[in-house]
Amino acid sequence: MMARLRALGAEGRRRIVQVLAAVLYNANVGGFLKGNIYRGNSKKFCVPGLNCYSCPGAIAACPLGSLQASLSSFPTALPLYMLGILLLFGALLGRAVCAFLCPFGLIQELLHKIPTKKLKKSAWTRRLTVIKYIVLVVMVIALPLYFLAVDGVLTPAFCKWLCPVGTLEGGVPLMIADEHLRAQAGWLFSWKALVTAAVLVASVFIYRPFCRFLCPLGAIYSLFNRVAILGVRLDRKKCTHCGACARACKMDVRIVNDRECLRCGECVSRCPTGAITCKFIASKGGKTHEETVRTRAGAGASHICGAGDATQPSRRGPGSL
Amino acid sequence: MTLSDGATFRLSEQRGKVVLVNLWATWCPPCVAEMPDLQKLSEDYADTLVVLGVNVGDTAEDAAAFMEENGYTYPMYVDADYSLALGMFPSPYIPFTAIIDPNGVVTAIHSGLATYEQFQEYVDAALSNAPEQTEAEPAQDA
Repeated sequence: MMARLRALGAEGRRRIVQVLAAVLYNANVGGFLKGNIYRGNSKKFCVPGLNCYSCPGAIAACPLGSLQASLSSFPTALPLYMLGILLLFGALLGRAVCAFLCPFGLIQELLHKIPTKKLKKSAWTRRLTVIKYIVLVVMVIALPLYFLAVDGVLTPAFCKWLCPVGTLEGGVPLMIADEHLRAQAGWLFSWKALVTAAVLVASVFIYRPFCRFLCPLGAIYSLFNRVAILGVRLDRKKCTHCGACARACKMDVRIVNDRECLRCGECVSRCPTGAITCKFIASKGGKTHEETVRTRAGAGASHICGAGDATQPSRRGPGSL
Repeated sequence: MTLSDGATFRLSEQRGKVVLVNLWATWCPPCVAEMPDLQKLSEDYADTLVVLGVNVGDTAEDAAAFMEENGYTYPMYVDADYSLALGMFPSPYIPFTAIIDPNGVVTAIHSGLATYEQFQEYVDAALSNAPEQTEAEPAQDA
């Protein structure tokens, strides 16, 4: 079993965790058939990744939906519970949540596997990654508070006007199952359907477009990347600044483990000097990189962050990428 | 609207009284928690207040059974096609309460759980808006 897991490579093992997380978050399969949402006690808790509360299968709540809702009593009551939960996930995992524990990240990655010409990242795409912080401040915090002040009630602006995950996981299945809801669909649903379709289509040509440019949850977790317990660690003594890691990375990182890093671990095997490791493993007493192991073409036998796997990345000559 | 007991309810016929509309569901813990207070309120202000429960997301049978099991006697409407909930209420969160004064003007809204005292404050404030038809004092007899 361990040998087979090792043989899968970093991406394969990560895929297993992603699928398990997606299935666990949406374990209420009966909801899809009945066209209603789960109402048990676990709904009071939120999952780390983006999974809509209104998905018929969801057994827990969405951190962004919960955060917006928790602003309802501002300023009388502050959303300390939600901030605490996000702090916990962030401090432990940073954006590893995005790579391992977010179903919508998984969906975008699977769509990207469809063989087409791909739009590569560039200096411009790096600049565009700033948009998600604007989405966070404006749609998750400012607009809900604005509507609270003006209307007396809170409108979850991100959920209502932007989130494609809610439309894909919640809106569409519920509309399919419930004719009353279908009758209520108007221009807002048309807009959300358009946004959702655009993101899904874009995912085929662009790697994780929502994660890179729009996701406010990724924006929140990215603030923790440099301090999170689980992370990709760069040994600066070994780093030759060849840039192989950043080039290989499908996200818009400037350097490994910056705010765009999802800790997928795929850069670990690309480093010619073995300077990259996973923080979690390295903190256990450091492993040297003198051993070479048989590697598979492409994937490489490499560390998967936090898996405690004993394989080492192979030594390759400089500039191998 | 046709209430769960078959009676017809017209908001326009409630002029002169305060109407408290409460959007709720059996599966919503805070909604269920505030219903005893709403029942007490409907009894304490029996002549001047109408508490109208609007159920969303339950079947008519479940909602009616819930009201009966718990001894809630105020009028109840089941918004089976979500038309009221989606069309007229500004918030996606329940419980949601709207207070309409004797002149038919919405004077207060409350998103989330409310206490008896909070409801009472809203109702008292609405009652102080005298109906436009009478000259001097607010109508005490309906």
